[in-house]
Amino acid sequence: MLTGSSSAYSFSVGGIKQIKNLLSISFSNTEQLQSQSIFFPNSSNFHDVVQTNAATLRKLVLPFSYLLEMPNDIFGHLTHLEVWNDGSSKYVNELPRAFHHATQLESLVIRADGCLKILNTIRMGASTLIRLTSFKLLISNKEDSIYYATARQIEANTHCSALADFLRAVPLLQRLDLDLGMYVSFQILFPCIRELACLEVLGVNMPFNFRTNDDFMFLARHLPDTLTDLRLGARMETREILHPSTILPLVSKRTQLLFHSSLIRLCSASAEG
Amino acid sequence: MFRQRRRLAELPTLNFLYLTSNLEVPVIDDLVSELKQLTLLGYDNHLWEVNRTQSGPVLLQWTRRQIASRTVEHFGHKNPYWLMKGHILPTAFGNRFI
Repeated sequence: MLTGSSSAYSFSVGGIKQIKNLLSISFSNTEQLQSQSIFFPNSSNFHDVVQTNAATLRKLVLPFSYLLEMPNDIFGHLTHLEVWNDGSSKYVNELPRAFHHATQLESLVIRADGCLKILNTIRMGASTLIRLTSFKLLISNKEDSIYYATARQIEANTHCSALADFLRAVPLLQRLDLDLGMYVSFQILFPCIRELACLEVLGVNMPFNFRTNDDFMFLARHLPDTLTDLRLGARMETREILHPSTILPLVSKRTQLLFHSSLIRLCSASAEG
Repeated sequence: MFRQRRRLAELPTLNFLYLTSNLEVPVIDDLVSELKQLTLLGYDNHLWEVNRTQSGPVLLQWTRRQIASRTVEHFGHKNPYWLMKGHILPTAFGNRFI
């Protein structure tokens, strides 16, 4: 039985504790609330529910801060893990412990807006994710300005090397989606992505300094031949670069293309402002 | 130029294209014309099914509800759905995640 305040999307979970044999438990934040998600008012309730269903649980969605008290054996059975930044970025250091025990994990989603240090953190413990075939990492901070991003780009070059190490540790990846906003160092990442022999689905947002035809051709040279789906985001300062003759070489022999560029609006707003 | 044209001819299986940008509409028309297998096209907060007729391609626009919910069934395949999941897509109802 669920009772509670609809204004805060929060519920008392007293009855939930009695439910057993759950395959999936999802604790989403209210901004991304999904129809079948439950907002747990405190971590102890959440951990109780997870512990009760430890034997059957395969999919778990939770905030970083809830990783802290999560028993190791929970991760050993999971095939899907999704963690999101609830403002407690210091808890991202718990991820390597989760990885170390998540030997059955096939799908990993990390939402960590603005938390660049996670690129370095996920490298640790990645060697145990031998079954991982699907990885989505969203750390873009939509609030950053282009000028602030210039400084962050320097930081990104360092952290992207760590991300490249992570990708080398999970060679069976079939689906990879990276939204690092303006912080991705594509010169470091794409040679590594090119080596993912099983990769079929790729999404990536390019940084603010990705803008020329040469950049597009660099990208085209480093896309794996196995790709069937591509989502590409880039900030363009001129419309000419988005002419089909520029885009289409990227998707030759590929079955699907998603071209996503929220950064273009950011650039336009800056010019208008 | 020859190289680019040859590339255009090597796109026999492209069936989904999504653009979010300040593109001019004629660019999209060009893409629909060039990509013969395109069956779904997205631009900003619009998505269209591409129907090929004898008189040329016809774009059938998704409803706002379809755009807002964007299920696997809407996309017709799990991969583009997975790629767009978690990303902000502007809609008439404001930005939202799926």
